[in-house]
Amino acid sequence: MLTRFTGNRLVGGVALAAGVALAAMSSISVAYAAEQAAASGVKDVAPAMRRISSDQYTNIVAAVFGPTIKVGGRFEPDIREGGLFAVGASKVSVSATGIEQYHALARSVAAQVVDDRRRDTLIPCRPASTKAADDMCARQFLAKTGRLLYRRPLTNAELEARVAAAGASATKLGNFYAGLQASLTAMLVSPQFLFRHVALEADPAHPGGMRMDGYTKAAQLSFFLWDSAPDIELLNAAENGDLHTRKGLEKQVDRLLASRKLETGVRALFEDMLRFDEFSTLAKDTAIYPKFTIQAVADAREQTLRTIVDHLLVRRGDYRDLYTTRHTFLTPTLGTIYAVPVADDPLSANGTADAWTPYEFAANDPRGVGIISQVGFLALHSHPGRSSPTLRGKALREVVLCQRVPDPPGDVNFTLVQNTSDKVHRTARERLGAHATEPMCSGCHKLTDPMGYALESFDSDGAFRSTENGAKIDTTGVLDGIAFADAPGLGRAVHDNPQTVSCLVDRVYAYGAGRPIAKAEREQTQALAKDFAKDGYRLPDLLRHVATSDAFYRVAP
Amino acid sequence: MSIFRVSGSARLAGWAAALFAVGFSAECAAAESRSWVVGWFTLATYSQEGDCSAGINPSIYEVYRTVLQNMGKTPKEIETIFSDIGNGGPPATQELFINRGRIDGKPVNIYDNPMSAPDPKFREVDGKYAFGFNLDGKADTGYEGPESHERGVDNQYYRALGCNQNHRAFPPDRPTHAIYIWNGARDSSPAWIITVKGENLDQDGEVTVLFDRALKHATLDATGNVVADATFRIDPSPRSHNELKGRIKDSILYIDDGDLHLLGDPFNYVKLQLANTHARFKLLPGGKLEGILGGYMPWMNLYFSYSSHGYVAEVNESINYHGVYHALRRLADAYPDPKTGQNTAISVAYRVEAVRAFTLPAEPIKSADAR
Repeated sequence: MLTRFTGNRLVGGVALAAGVALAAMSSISVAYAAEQAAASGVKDVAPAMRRISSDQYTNIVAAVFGPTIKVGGRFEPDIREGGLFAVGASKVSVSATGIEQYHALARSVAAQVVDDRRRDTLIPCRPASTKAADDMCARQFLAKTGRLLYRRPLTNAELEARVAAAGASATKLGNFYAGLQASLTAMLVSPQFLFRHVALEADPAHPGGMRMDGYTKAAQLSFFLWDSAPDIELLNAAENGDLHTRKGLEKQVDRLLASRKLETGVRALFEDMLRFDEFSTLAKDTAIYPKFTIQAVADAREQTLRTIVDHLLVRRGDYRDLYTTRHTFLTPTLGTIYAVPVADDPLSANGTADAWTPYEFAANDPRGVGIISQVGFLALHSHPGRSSPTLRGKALREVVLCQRVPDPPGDVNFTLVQNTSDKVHRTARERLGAHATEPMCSGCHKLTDPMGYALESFDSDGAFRSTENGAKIDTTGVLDGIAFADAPGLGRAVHDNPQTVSCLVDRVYAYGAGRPIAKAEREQTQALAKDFAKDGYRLPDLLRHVATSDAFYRVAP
Repeated sequence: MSIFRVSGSARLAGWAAALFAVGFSAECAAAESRSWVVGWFTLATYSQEGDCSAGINPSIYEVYRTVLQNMGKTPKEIETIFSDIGNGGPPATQELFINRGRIDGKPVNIYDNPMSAPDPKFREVDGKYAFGFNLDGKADTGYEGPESHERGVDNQYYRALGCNQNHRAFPPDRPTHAIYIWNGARDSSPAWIITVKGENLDQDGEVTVLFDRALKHATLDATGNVVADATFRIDPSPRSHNELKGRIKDSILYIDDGDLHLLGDPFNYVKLQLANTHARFKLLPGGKLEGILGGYMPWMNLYFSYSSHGYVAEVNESINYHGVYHALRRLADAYPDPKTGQNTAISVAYRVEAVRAFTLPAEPIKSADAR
């Protein structure tokens, strides 16, 4: 399989879909479903395949083989579409060099699984001889592991091919475990593992229609809520047909929502939605912002995620309050940027050192009001050497409100904006004010800057300031007609903006479905938004509504 | 009161006082309190052309050549030894230099027995200027302060060692010996904390100045300097708690007397132990504190901060530790031993740079069950 993929230099989703079709899928292929949908006049279909993300790869390996397996290596780059990698995942494939990387990863993982320390735990049987093939033991391991990796049982042909490969390798190498390693490696580079497939079956409730099969539903559910593959219980529910019943589906949804793995899923959702992948390239001019170390970057990202998890899952708080909450968590490193006391000696619940301390900013403190006033958002949406009302306003529009802000024209003169030592225009507001008098610039700046000005009390590294170049900073601003005086006021305006809620609902739905919301689904998402409001804007309730809705599993909306 | 006598009962009383000071009075006694963590602390140098009229002291390799010559080594033998002296040379070579002292004609460790070889008589700083304070009240003896223009500045530590190349620098440059020592101490030893308390620290007035040791070392920012606005828990031990009277005048913090005792680490700074403590710290816009701290220091403490490094550091720092001992002993200028008359303390002046910090009282480590 590997040879065929690298040899053909498969770079497109269609080509890869063809490869997958060759892999003897038992259900009707997605390509066929697309044809059926097209014939019926429906334009949007469920995505053909979605490549699993690097985090999903890691989560699956940890779930199947345990967290001590090291997954180190480079993954193929993702594409953000409709604001989400989860949507872009259906547009990406694997390059020739990508296959080599996946192969290196797979070999490493497989070697760790069969090594002396782990084999007795991870392999459910012992071969008659460690120096020879043992088809029975290999079959037992590969069937069990393959079901978890492929998110469905292996077909007979697949299983026997893997067993035969393991046997041939074991015989040649004189080592049963080396044979098992070779076969496991092949499974880990298989498109059946690296891509999520939509398998269809006839829908008895709608004669002539199609529906996702149980395993596809199970994967849809587990990747949505856990950012990982289904566990054994969920696969069993799929196998038994439980996921096609209302009761069975709700039982599994509630189980997944009650699991600690939900935190992983919620983190993944917000990392995607808030574009936290950009932290990997975030850097500041350390001569200007010496506190913004590598540790600060890592902590800033984690601070926002901890705030989200604590507020939405632990406290079951109102989603909108994420933009006004004063509760957060800090490390000593972040304490230096916020300029608040944070000691580094608390112990975590299990007695080990934990650098994180719960922290609540005072009611009259302009710092730390909601996640948009946290170091992560502020630093992520600034320039390396200066803050940016424009970038911050643009991010608010695009990330929080799901609006599109056009990119600047290619021939804009930024000299005035970039001159932070300008003696005349000492603040960013003054510089942008002068810059935005140019007609080609003013249109977009009106969309972004009036919001971003409120965050000007925070420098590019997120540290609070009241002056810039000796001039007092004016933090007044406007968001969609709502005026405010400062960052807390902006947080309140975002909290009260109806699009803050509808944006989240849309993102959550698209994230889970792995595709942009089709026009035909608008009614569905509006209904979800209403339910979300009725439930007090509690995220777990929204997730439950989405995960138990029929639309979420429809092949075509 | 001398800093060189602290009884056991006094230590217990001091412990209680320290707990009270850190845990309670810090919140109640003063209207305003600001803390700084020390980011730079070394001998204050003011090296200028011509201030060592007899020249700069020989490098350590020149010293070693002389040692070998005095041992009767031939020029060829000396060259053979020096051909392989990188990184201190092989063990046999190291032993030669480490055991260059002689007692009853037998080789002894020179660092442990500095009197086992004659005083090499370091050349002294005989220029006009040096940082420090007029500690003895005599305006006609000593240097002139380069910034304060105070007359009679006593800084015999600088006089003793300031003509060694690695102790020479003109501000803002830093002497290489200081960089070597301080960087090691800063990154490994509990940080030193300065806290100033008063009614309004932006105005002139009397203040209380606390010198404490933290429970952890300072951390660095992306430029390699001690990061500002970090948080430190204060060591409750009275051994490193000091409360001195001070005053602020025109944004400069002055200390005019008192004893100061701060533990360092066994390797770099055994301890800072000052009598007749003086300070002149500028409270700079942006929150930094910079200035000079001086007083009388037991010169043996200073010597140990050199000799404890041993041979490798002597080579790397290129300063004759044996010469350090004799220079400090010879130029010590205070607290004579009542029996021998030998002065036990030497006037010193340190350059201090500090950035703002938060302080918290020490908190006992909580067990998992307790949480």
